[in-house]
Amino acid sequence: MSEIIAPPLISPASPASFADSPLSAALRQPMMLGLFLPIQAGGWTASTLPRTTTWTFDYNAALARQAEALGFDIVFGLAQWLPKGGYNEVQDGQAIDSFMTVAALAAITTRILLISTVHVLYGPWHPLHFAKFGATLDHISRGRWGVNVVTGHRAVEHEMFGFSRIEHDRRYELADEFLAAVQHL
Amino acid sequence: MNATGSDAGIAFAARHSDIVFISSPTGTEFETAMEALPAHVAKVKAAGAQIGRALKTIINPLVIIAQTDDEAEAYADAIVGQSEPTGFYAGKYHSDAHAWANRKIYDTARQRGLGGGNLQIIGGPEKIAESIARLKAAGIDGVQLSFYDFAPDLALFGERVLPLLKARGLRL
Repeated sequence: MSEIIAPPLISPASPASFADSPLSAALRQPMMLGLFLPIQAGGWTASTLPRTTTWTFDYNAALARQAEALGFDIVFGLAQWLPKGGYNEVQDGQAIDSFMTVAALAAITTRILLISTVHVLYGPWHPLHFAKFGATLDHISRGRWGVNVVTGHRAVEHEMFGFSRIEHDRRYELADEFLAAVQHL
Repeated sequence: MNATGSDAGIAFAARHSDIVFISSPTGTEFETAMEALPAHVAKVKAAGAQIGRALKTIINPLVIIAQTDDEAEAYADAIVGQSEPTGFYAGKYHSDAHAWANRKIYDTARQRGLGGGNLQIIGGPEKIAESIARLKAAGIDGVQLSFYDFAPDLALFGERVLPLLKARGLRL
């Protein structure tokens, strides 16, 4: 593993360090409960057995409200650019965006944490865009928005964005630099 | 938060994340995963502790729930009976992620038919609650659940499993 070049971490304090933050409330649970929203066709299973699950916003909005009413701590959406298993009848590649979906959920929920998945190396993403969008969501959601930072691991997806896939450990060095810049902002 | 399975990813998580979304190092089978998870979780937490950060871990079980264990197994069989094999397992998924590398080796045809989730938990309410308690005992701080038929299965989980988790002291 290559050495990660760590810039001085001038990060703002984690929301976990504020006792009254929404994150702290979730972390006090002995076992946190999250719901993994099916914002991509087929959810996690390529079966045609009849079910209600769909990737539509309305279905996922109802699930987010249902999870909040049950006392769940987190709803979370993945970022799917291409179907995971190749195209088939069930997993046909339809998916709504994780960042946009979670942003909309902020307006229709009040207590539950909302986590977007973002491939920070699929871009170019400017750190200023990311910082501005995130700060805006922090306001809209009253401190309930968070991000699942991922680097992307499929060659074909990196190519979709006009780049060759970056070597595994190097991806984390670049993501580290990106987040350091975001946190400065 | 960040989702990862590799050493580089864990080092990244230690610097930036409050919650690390881990995967099973040994595929989706619950008992096998339970053998590997305590050491994996300890490794993640140690990476945080080394730089003075307290990391929490969360994992994604696919929950196949019904009123009884037998009904849940029958539900799983019905799902698998109408499931198609996918490119993910057929070697058409050109990923170099460490988090998923072992699934192709460990997962059985039935587990492949059920599909995603870092783990699969199949059972009635008691067995689901017991499995979540065992994950807690393995050092995991949270579960991020997925279901097959989300709305009704989540409702059944809320009605039957949540009270059991509260009774076990796993939920406030």
